[in-house]
Amino acid sequence: MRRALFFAPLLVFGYLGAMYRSVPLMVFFLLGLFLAAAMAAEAIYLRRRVSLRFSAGQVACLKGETGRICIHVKSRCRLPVSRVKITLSAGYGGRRGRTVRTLSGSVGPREEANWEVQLQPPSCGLLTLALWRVRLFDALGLFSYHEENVDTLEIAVYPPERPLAVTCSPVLPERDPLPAGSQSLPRRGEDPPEYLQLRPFQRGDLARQIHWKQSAKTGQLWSREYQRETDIWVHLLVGTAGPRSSGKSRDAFYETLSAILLGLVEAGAAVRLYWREEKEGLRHMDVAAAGDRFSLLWALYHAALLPVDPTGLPENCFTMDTDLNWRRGSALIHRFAETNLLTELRQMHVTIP
Amino acid sequence: MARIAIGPISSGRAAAAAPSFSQLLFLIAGVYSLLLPAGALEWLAYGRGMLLAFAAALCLALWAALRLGRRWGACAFGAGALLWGAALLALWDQVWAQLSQIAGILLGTAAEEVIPAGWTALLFTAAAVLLLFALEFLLHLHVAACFFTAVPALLGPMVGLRPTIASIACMALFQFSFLSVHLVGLRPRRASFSPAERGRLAAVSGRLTAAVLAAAVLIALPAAARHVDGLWQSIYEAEGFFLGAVRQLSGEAEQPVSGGDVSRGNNYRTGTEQLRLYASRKPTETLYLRGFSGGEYVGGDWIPADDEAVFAQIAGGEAGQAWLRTPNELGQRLLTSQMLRIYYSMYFVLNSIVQWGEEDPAPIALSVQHSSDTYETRYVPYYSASSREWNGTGGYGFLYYEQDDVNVDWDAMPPELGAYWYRWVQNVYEEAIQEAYTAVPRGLLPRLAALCEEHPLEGLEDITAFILYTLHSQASYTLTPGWFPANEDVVEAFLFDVGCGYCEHFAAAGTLMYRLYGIPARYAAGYAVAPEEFVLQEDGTWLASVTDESAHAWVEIFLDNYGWTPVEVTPAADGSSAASYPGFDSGLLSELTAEHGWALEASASVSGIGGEAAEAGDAAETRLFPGLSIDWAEHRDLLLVLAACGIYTLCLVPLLLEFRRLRHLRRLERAGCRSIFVRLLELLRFAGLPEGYDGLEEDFPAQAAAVLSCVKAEDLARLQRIVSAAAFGPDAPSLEEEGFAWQLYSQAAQDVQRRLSWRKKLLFRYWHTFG
Repeated sequence: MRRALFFAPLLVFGYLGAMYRSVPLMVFFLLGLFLAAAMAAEAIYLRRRVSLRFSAGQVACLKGETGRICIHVKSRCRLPVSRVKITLSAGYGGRRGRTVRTLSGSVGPREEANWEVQLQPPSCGLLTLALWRVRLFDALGLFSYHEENVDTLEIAVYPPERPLAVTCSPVLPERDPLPAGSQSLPRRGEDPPEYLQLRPFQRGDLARQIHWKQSAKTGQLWSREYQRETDIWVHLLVGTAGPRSSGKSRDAFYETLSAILLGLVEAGAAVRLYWREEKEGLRHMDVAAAGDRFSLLWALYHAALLPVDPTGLPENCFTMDTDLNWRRGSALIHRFAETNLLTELRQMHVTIP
Repeated sequence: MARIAIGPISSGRAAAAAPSFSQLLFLIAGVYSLLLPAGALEWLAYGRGMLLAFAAALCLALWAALRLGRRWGACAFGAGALLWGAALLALWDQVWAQLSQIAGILLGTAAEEVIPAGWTALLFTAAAVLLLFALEFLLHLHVAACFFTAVPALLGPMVGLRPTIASIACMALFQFSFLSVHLVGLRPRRASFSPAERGRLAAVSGRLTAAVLAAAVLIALPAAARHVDGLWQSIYEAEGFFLGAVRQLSGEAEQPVSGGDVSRGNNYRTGTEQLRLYASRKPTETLYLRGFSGGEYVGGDWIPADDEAVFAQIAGGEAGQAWLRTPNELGQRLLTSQMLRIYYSMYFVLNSIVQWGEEDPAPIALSVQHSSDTYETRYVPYYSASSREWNGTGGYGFLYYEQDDVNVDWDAMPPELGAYWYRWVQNVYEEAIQEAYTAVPRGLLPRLAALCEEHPLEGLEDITAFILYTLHSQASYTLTPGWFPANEDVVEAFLFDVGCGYCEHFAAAGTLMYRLYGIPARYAAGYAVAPEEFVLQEDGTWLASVTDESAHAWVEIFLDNYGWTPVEVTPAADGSSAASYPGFDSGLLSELTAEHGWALEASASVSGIGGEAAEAGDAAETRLFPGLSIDWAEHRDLLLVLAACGIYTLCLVPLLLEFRRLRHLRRLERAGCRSIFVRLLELLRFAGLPEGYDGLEEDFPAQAAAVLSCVKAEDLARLQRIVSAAAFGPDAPSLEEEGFAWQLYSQAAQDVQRRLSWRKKLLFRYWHTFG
């Protein structure tokens, strides 16, 4: 449209300049053509001289809250870039979603700038924010150089803290023997128990497990392995209910899971959460404090969950699937509904024998 | 899934960036693009230099107000608009009269006369400044601003207001530079960006575009001067191709057209066959087929000649009455029709009577067929009579003599053939056309009439030579002369302004010049078919396929014993004259032009383009630097206006002073606690602090607190410590300390200002800018 608005009057000038035999009008026509050529050259010159990347910003935010993302713009060219048009797209589940926003800005010659963008993710999960298209315009906005799939950023969207009201009876057995390779961690604020050994860092280990001194010495991350003492341990297996689940159900699943975990932690229990992945097999992570759920959810967001299969797990293991069925063994404790889930979570009170 | 909301960070309502100085220059350029073309109108009297200065001053004032803030800019615009409206109301009668006169001259309805247009020019300038300021800076409607600056440049040439190189350069600077400025976005709707940053980038972008434009001007000017001819021809060819295609598709190309409209634009030929001519033998002269004869000229258009009216007038006059037995209306009608019938074929008949011998040239039998099969107009050769010998389908036929074969000898007429009757018709007709075909609307053609009056001539040959000399020296032949201005007669524009044209223009000018010299002449249009176009057919006839490329216009003059005779006034392809009629040929033409000192050569350039370019260049040079001579007596009104402007400017002085004060305070706030402390010292000295204190003394806080009533000595002591630490300590003062320093200074300034007289207060605020 802009190009049409530029060239159409220019053609009129050229035509009328010829009809009137007016040299000044032809000069204007030639000026416009020359400018257009210069702008086309500038658009080519801008190629690969301006870089846009997501800079270190928030990579996690809470659902429904406003998160801030920073886009770092760096110009290596001597000319100001009057207009930089970026198209951001966001989608869940690692897929490029539909375009949600186009923003424009400018950057001066050899300048760096940080553009802040705020977003409000509506669902829990792994949100992929992509700098899908970047267009650099010349000084008159006639021509542009564009680049696609410039950068992506993974944003973990966590559910807000909405603990389920849970009461745990003291007859819960003590912690069952741990499956091989697993460990228990102290709660926040507690005196750390004696740790058994150092082992290499594994995915799912918490940051506070890391033995920084040893890691600095060796150049490799090492984690402490503890022996924990606790009164109540809850085993919970999560997985899919079927081959496919919609994004909405995943959101409800994470909300429910988070609420259950928080509820159990507030009730004084520690949760050992299991899940099965295709390649990794059975994995687990302990949640002993409210903050531990973030690491767990981060791991779940990246996991390709398999259907719930309690084989090899304790008999009193709870299960939770993406259809929001909360069971213990084969007995259904509760089936949460996706609609009005938050109200349900708020009003519900569960006693776990 | 619910929509993911993404948006730029915006902290409240983002303010627009202040305009830079370069944007002021762009605005001035835009206003000048509207003012400079008027400088070429010599009949418009106003102080050009003064007006340009006024425009710049008004732009500066509005820009300065906008620098203070958007609200100030809007107020200044509002005040300016109100003043302008009030001035318009007060001077309405005067301005309206001037506008009416100017419009009349521009539209060609009134004669040129010097118009003192000071008020109108001033109001127009102010309106232009206010309009462009509002569109660019307040409303950010750059497209509308481009429209208002471009339309006069595009439409002005139609009324003789041609843009100059300077005005075009100013317009380009205004349009393109602001385009880049607005791209950065003065409006607050971009990704997170401080207004200052946006303003800075906008200024840089605008300057960069202006620099590229300056380089472009240096390339475009010589390129246009050298290759403008080729550029124009390319555009003409494109237009011709398009129009030709349209005509051929619509069938219009086949229609033979001859009319009295003298075109104001280009002539594009399609090469489509329009007539088919069958001749009994190959002609030896150019065959002029007349489809239209023009009588009265009404400004770019010829009314068809009405010979019937001429003969009716003759029949109703003394000469006719003598022939009528019963001088009543019926008798007059009969006489008229009889004279007409005789007259149309008279010279053929007379020639036939004379040339009866076998050795005498025989007439040529000609039949005319229209390709379109419509016969609204008949194309008649000279010295002809209708013939029914043509046996083909459609069309019509003639017998005609070529001009060289016409030899009417009245003395050789047999008396029984009634030659006296023919002679009488010729004589009365020749007498009648002295009035009928010599009328010229002198009001429409003042320059042409003046030219003929400056060269009084007698004798048909001298007049013909002068006409040919004038036409060939002042104009050149081209089928693409471009558009003629709408506010003047096409013939005058052709001869005195545009300087190039084609047969219609030459013929119209030639006809009018003959008439101005008192020689009956008519404008004729039809086809001119060269002998080479006739091709021998198998049946012995000669066929010519006549296309629109043979369409032509010429002059007819009345010669004894020949009647209406074609005179070719259009130069030939090589620029030479092809004019010849019985008693006049190229040899005589050369003699006469040599005798009078008329160099009969083509004008400066064959196409007229180089000449026009040179003229434009010269004109551009003169228009680039319009005379700055000032006639004080003539510009008394302007002086009064300047005084009014001075008052207006004075009213803006407080705005400027306020702007300065706020700017200083803003700078001071950002400068740091040490600069604030220095300024506080100056303020205290103004308020009466004893001399000799430089702020480091132990008793300084006490002394300063004595001067200031509401500032405590402890606070001053703390400030002293902060400043000392800032000057000599290892760490920079904290934000809280900087804020404390500024707050203390503001408090002190308010305290001092409260106690000052109004004169000192003015000094305190606007001269020293303490607070």
